[in-house]
Amino acid sequence: MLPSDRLDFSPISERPRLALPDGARLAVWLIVNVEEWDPRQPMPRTVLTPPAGGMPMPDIPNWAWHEYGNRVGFWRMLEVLDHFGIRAVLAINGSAISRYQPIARAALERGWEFIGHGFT
Amino acid sequence: MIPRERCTYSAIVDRPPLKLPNQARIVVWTIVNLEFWSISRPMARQVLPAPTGEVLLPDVPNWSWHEYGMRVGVWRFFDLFARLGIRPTLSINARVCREYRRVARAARDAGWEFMGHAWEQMPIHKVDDQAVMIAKSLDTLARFAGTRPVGWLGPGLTETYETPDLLAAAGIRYIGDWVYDDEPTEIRTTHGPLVTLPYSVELNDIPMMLVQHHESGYFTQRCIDSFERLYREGAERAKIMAIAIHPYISGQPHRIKYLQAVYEHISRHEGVLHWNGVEILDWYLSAKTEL
Repeated sequence: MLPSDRLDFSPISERPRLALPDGARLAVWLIVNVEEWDPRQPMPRTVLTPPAGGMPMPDIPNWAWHEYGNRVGFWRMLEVLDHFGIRAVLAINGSAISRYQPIARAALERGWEFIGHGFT
Repeated sequence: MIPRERCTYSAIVDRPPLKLPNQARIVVWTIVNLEFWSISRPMARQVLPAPTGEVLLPDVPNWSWHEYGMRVGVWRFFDLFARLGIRPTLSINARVCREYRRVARAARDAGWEFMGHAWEQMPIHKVDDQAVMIAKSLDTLARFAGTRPVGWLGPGLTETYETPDLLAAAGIRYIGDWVYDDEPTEIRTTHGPLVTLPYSVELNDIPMMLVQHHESGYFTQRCIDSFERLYREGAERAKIMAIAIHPYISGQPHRIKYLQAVYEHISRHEGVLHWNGVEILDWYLSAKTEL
């Protein structure tokens, strides 16, 4: 189905107002994304392009950059969220649940919501 | 071997902390990269794309831009690091010892550590025989510097699945291509364990200035922001902060003062060690036995 078959156009100005409880004005929805990158595939993102361009495979430096997030970076974000008592939503690749189990466990222990995010 | 066969995932919070000597909190590892760009091939990086975006050969303006680093920019580095009393690690294409002998000699005479960085600047995937290229590079550097390098960085950090095995077989003991942690780690090779040191693609003038196109001054800000955080974390566990620079980028007149400002900021802190790669390697190998 085309997106336009799924819903009719609706300008936000013509809809009845939604109200949050207790007069709240804003909901902040924090999503932490945890991904597993397959080193045999092109990397989904790159911080460093190869000398003279092209896309030589395997792409070890960009794979390693992503892995840094799971080994080190995630734990800094967790410290911030714990400090403010915020429960995030974890968008996690299915394969990352077992590959990066300490991350999935930390989210589970804190009562974060898990949402589907593809398998890899 | 794919990376996952060389190492398992490990969360930094699950590891016992490594400790630096004398209550130091952080090691600053400065890496100067010297490259040889062959005029017969597309240039490794471009400051100026050709009109209509085509890759034209020879690419004289971009070749000249790199050459500026060797003629002018690198001498700003030598001056800065001599004044600071810091001896960086030199990541050097071995061919530089022949083509830019004057520059390589200045680094040798200043006591900088020579780290293998392939023969010339091109993706390692395009090298016909990596084992031969690695041996030739290390032999050339050993003859020139008088010491055989123990460290290696791929050109653009590139590796194939076999590269770590070939490097370990050639006597290399640490690599910088695996920018995947704040701490040294060990990966498996067919020739025993190989140490990874935390080189950087974040505090590195290629991604920052040539890929992301930040303004010159942002270099100082990002380095200070990283330093402040790592310095704080260094109270609990040893931290290493790599700064990777190239003479044709950070040696430009509009950038050198921002590099200098980083070291001025760092110098106002206690408990900072300026070590080269082999010093970090030796510390790590002894610190991990004390865990």
